[in-house]
Amino acid sequence: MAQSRVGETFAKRLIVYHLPLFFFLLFTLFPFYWMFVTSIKSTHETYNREINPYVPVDCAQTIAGQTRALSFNGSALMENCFYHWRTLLRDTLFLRWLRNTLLVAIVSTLISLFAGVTSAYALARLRFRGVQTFGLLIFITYLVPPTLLFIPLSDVIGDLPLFHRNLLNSPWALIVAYPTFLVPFCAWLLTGYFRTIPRELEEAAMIDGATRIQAMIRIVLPLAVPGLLSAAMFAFTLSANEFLYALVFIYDNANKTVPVGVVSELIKGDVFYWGELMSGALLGSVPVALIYSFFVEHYVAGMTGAIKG
Amino acid sequence: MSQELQADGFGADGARVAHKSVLALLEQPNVLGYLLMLPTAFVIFFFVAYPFGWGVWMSFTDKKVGMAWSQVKFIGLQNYVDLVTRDGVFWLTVWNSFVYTGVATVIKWVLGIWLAVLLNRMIRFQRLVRAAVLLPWIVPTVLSTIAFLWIFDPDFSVINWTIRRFYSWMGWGYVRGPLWLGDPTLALASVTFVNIWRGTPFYAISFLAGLQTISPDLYEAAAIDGASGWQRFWHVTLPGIKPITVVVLVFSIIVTFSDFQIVYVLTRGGPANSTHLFATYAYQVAMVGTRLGIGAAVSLFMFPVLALVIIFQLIYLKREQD
Amino acid sequence: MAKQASVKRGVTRRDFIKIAGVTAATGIEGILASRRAPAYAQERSLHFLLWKNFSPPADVEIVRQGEEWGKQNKVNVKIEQINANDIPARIAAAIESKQGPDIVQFFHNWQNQYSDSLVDVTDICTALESKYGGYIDYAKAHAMLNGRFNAVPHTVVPNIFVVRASYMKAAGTTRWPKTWDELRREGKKWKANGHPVGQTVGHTFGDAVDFTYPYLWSYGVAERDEKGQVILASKQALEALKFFKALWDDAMDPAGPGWDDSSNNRAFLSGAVTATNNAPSIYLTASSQVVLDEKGVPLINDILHMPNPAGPAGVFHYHYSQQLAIPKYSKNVDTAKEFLRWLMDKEQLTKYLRRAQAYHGAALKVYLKDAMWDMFPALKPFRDHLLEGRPVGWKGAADANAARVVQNYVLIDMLANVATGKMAPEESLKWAEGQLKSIYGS
Repeated sequence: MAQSRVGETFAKRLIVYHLPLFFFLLFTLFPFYWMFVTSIKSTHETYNREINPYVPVDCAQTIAGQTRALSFNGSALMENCFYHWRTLLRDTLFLRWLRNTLLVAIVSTLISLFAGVTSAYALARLRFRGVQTFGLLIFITYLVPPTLLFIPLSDVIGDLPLFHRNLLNSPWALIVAYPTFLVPFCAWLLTGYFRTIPRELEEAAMIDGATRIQAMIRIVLPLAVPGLLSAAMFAFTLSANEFLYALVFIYDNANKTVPVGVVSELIKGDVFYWGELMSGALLGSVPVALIYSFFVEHYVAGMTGAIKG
Repeated sequence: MSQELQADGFGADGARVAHKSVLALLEQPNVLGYLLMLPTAFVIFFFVAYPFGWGVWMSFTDKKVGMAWSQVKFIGLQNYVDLVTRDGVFWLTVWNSFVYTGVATVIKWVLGIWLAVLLNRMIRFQRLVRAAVLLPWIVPTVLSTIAFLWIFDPDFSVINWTIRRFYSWMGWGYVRGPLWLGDPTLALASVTFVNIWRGTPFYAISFLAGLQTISPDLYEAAAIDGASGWQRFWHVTLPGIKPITVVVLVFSIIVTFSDFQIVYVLTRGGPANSTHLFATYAYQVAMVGTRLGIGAAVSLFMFPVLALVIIFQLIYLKREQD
Repeated sequence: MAKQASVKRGVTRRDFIKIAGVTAATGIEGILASRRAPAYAQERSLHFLLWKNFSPPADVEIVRQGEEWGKQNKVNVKIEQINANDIPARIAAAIESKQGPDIVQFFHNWQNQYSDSLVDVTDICTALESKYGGYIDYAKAHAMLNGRFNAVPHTVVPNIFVVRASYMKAAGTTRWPKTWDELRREGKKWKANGHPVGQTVGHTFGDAVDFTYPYLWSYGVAERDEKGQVILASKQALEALKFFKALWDDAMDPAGPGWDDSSNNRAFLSGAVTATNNAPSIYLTASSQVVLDEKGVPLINDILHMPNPAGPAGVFHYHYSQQLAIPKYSKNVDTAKEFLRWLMDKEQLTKYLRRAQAYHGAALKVYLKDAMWDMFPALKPFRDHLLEGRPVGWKGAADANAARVVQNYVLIDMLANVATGKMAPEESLKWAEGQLKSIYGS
């Protein structure tokens, strides 16, 4: 599992490597186990203070019973195990919210990548008057907290005369608002990354007759793919997680994103529908988790390049 | 080739010449630079700078929700003075924010490096474990925090149940278990814990990236010189990840200091204001209590602190570059 | 077994409402007149924002009423229901950007904070009063500012004590305590048995106010006098706070400061507390979900509804009002007014209150005689004490700053400081008075 070090006994490896890793994984993943168990427990089990909360008894019994009898009973399984998942998917607009979240996240990411790439190239490669100031300004935007921005921002977005339509209450309000916190980070990350790419490559291309823009697109960008992926994944995560703007700018249930929809539909005043909330949390993080599992190597590589620069 | 400009640029040749001169223009660093900056500048100006200016202006007024701008009075620094001298919650908020950010950052830093070192050794299941470790950071904060609301529930907490079972197994009698969100000090600790849980993966993966830039030769050389594992860590690993450390710390401090969701979901600033951070208090004052001017002032108090943090980073990086 | 099954299922499917937007007939006349499909349908629309009711059937009923009215009047009625705690932020942004819902529901006297941004609905209210008789006085006070109605009073949510009879009996308590001190003494026995009195003093909009305000009033504690001067720091207030510490330590659940509006419901339904001040939601949940107690018997058989104990100044309750307002930015003010008039009509209001299972009463006094209380006789004590409320801000007016005191949890924190031991009573009183002075501007 790990590189063995010279002269390291098994006992030492256990203490220094395996055990801490085990506790880290426990620390990180226990809440997810808890979310999963709560989502497949029946409601009365959830509200029982005495029984063992770690084991979804009803569900386990159903599965055990079916396994022993070797007979599959889909509806019993649904009632006892996946009741909350079914409620979430059937009786709320969860899939719609997921679609909205993905739409907003993808488009915001693309916009932020575009702005990030262009400004990063300028900051990393070009010397022109004001480049330092501009870099500073980009950082400073980070300091402006969303809790300060969101009222004036809702004013600005509400007044935007785009296609004679009211942007508020549509995913476009978020697509316009999210780059405010995504672009600075993408710009910073990509600036660092571009700095690690040797200038000689572009200069060689320009000597051969390419324009600067052609050099940027054909030479630098392909080499910066890990950095681009890193920035994209980061931006995507931040977009999918955002709550305050989504709460304030969007009203219609059908237009909400996953965080806002789950919280507003599944907490009905007095009652928290824990089973559905937990399954919503798990389903709401699956798309992003999948992407990460495929690209986590690139994510790491992208960060590596950025910090070298 | 690209610089050929002809004096008489008309007709078909003229088009080519015009085309060429546009391209020539784009070769100028000044022009290209400004052009490339345009998208970002657009976003920042309209959607950050302008609303921010609006917010700053608001903090110098007595604006309340629904108050017409014609009625709004400019009152200078009065809001700030009132917050500092009269408001009974403000200084508690300051204290909470610093404690929350300070403790969480230090712990995330330590845990992050530790976890990164462990992940770096891993070969099998590498990808799976790295993705698993990132989960707390990937899952939407609001949703994972609601899970913690249930984990910390005074009657149904799974932690307390476990403690109770342990006590009865040991024969120590009945114990209710800690009041995670009911006791003021413990509540601050609980929200800090959730922040640590959420943020450690980010530190770990970033440090992991940093670790991979350290050349193995350095470790070999140190080992040859007789350095122990701990000494190698202290003299090779830590300095090697200094660049990424600065960047991660700055980003994390800014995000943690202005954190909103965790406290909003778990306690709304209670019990007795012991978990209010700048963002949640500003929200309560401005949105719930409709005093926008004062709320804006609360928000803006974050600015100098965060600005200092950024300035430190820039100074440090500048020094490293020279 | 059938009972077990329904308990297992917990929430029935009926409780989930798919609010995907309610549509009504489009304006056919407009299309026919122009002989081609218009770019935008010539129909009126209405956006109504209100809370997710603590009594789920009420949510279904209000949507049905919106649908019915929309169909009759060719209006596209969109009803949006969100968590009550999120309404202020939504409406603040809407008012500032001058676009948003056409009708908004408010609690306590929240909307007095931006009265000038709301349409004057005095005409609707006076018409209702003359037709049906007057409003309950505190509900009326919460819907008015400077002599005009800025919202139409709709309902009132009553809050009294919900009690486990068997736990009282098991500890030897023969009758519900008549004074706070008696509650402290009896509660001590209940707490010793593991079932204390449970109450939130956290940052929640409902239960915390419902308990702390009447408690303070029962000691004669006033925020301001009639002239508007802050007079919180009085002998009675100090006495109230000192006693509260004793009451808390002896009889109450220490987890209270971290509870939200739903925690005491959960605690009660799972047998963790003997008594808690609440609205009818506990009883209604126990009834609809057939909650069983430890012995497997339906819990509702063990529930009593009792009034607040008395303090030196008497018995007081606080029942929070719910009223509906029309923001001035709305482009559908006349449509909204039509809808509100219809909603407040006897037929609609009666259906709403009854289908809500008597969770709330109406702001109009006449509904105290309504048959809904006979349909849910166990909830009659809520009706019996419904008139014993006061508006916030006593003895001063229930104006914008009084609302700010509620929204910033000042009096609640004053009690929470003492309960958690963070501050001594004197210190907390001084703290709260400073807060009141800075909000009321002295």
